[in-house]
Amino acid sequence: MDKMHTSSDAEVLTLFKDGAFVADTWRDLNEDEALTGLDHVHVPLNVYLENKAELDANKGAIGLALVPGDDVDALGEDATKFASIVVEFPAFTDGRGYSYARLLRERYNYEGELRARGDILTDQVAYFFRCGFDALTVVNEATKKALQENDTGAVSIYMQPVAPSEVPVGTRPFLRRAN
Amino acid sequence: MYRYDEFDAAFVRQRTEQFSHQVKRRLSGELTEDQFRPLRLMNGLYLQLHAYMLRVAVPYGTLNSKQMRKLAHIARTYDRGYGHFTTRQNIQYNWPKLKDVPAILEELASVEMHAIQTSGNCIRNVTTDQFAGAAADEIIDPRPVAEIIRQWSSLHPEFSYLPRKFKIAITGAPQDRAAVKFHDIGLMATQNDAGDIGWRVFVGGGLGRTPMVAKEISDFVAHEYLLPYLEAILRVYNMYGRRDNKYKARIKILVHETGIETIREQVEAEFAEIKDGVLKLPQGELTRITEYFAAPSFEEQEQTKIDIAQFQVTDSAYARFLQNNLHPHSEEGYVSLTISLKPIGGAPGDATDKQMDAVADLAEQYSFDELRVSHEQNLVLPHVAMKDVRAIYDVLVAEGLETGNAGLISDMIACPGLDYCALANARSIPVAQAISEKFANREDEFGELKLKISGCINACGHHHVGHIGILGVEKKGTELYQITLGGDATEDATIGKILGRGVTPEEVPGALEKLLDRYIAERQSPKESFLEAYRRLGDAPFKEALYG
Repeated sequence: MDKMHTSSDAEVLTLFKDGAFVADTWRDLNEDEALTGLDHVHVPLNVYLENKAELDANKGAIGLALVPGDDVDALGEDATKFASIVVEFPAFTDGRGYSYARLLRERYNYEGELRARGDILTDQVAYFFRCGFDALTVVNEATKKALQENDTGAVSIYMQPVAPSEVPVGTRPFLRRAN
Repeated sequence: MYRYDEFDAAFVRQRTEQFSHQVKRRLSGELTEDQFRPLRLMNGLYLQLHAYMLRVAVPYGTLNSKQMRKLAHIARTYDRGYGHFTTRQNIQYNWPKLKDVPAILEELASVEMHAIQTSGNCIRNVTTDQFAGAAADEIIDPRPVAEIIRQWSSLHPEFSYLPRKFKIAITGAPQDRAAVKFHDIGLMATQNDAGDIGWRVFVGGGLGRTPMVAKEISDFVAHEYLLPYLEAILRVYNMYGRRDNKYKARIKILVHETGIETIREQVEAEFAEIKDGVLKLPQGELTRITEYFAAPSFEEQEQTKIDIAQFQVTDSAYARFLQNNLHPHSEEGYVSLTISLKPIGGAPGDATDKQMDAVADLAEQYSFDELRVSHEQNLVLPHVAMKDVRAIYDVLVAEGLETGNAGLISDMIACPGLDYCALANARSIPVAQAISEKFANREDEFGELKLKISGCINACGHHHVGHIGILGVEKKGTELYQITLGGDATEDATIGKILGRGVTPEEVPGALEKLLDRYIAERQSPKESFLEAYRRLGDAPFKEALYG
């Protein structure tokens, strides 16, 4: 099961973005790693909040990793500093990340890449995109297959407005469809 | 009532197709039961003791005759010839085959019905007063707002994986018949000093293992801000509600542990951010939805009262029916008529396909094609001319639906219990049947009495809010029943108190007899109800009556 040399192999690509599985140029910060000279690294929120100046001084792209229970409001407008934010979904039943995504997009004007990562089931895919995620890190085989075949079977019209990018339908004020 | 436009129809069709696809994947073995479980639970499909159970949404308990006939058809074709109406104004089928579920959903979609969000940790079917749009005491018809909430909450992308299920109830009348203070969110119509009608908002009520009366979080939210206010509550709950223990995950625990003041601050802060955003309700939309619920074209009635006394000797059963099963209507010469699904010795809330068809015919002929399901598991013809009551009654007699017991002891709420439910510890239905048979000839004497029976601490039978509540528990392999007194689901929301040690199933009817005999002996007049007498007297005389 040595996957070390196959990370570019299409078989193990897990990052789904813009309609395809693509190579992932980001990695997570290692434990006890120095906070300088980082590039394309996702840093946990608490590490960022405690080492803001040092991390902001990096020349390379810095990303943020959020887990359920993190306080997105503590991040606030600092969100716009990041090139990528990944929100962890340790279990599909834990829906906190959907709210985090909406806050980042709608309140804190975050426009960079927003990833959902973890226990992602086929039927959640549409909800993720609606809440503002634009990338998914998927390991579930059934979900990967559905995404590859563009067959998530999602309902494509919506009874409530969420993301500003959704397109109004007809004359009823709250109806939307995917853009 | 609300009618689907092309968008609504397409929405339900897409959802039905999505679920049908999921069922196919399960049947082919592509999905394991573990993988299928979260999918089916989003669509009202439970795996019970003996079979799948499908719960169909009846939005705020409102049906037309065509829909009721479809429910009858489904009972006949795909089930064992009956359905079970629930305390959340829905209907459950206890014996559908998994392979038939897609076909059932297609049948439902053809009459603008579905099973969306009747289970799962999402916002469930919004419930309301069964007399909404008809009751004489109503400030405002709550159905348009219930419909607006239904739409907003349908497949909501942010709130489909909440810590736990989420139930909203709404009443437009000061006399609360929707138990709003025992819901995650309760809405109660109110008028502010300027004379505008809006909503008092209660949060954190519930029954189950930890019964709680909801606390008021806002004394006035205007219609136009209601959705942003609800979204603010849901967001706070989604982010901060406990997820470490499913028994502590409802919003009532969050409110209890955090305190209503803190929750209010968090909700108000969130509300301030989104208040004037995209969810602010335009007057035009409120008006448009309200028009669907316009009052039917009532006619001037010659008969404006019903003389019950004249039947008391010659037709006492009919007199009882008139006494108990009619509710005052806002329109002169009309009443709302309750069809009891609690025949003496029957299973509370069950109706056969034939009965459903008959009720549909009655609604079409006599009630402007409208029907309601009450949270007390009865059916209601909301708009009946007094002159037609006798004709309706005669049909009900022919169908075995004439029981004149609305509001009496045999009009009880009981969960399915150990006979059907995988969670139950004890049987409910046989106990309910034994009680109703025991008191069949005495219930008028007892007057208004809410008896509620649950077969386990999840409290689906609402025993906490019964004037008399019965909770089945299991102790050392035998069933034991705890009795609580003094519960009240109305605006005076109260949780009943456990009276003492439990009794065996066989002892339950006799125990109630002792309590009720004591009530009769102690009451100041026949006008003092059991609940009033209990409130005046306290536990002591009832403890003495039961335990000596």
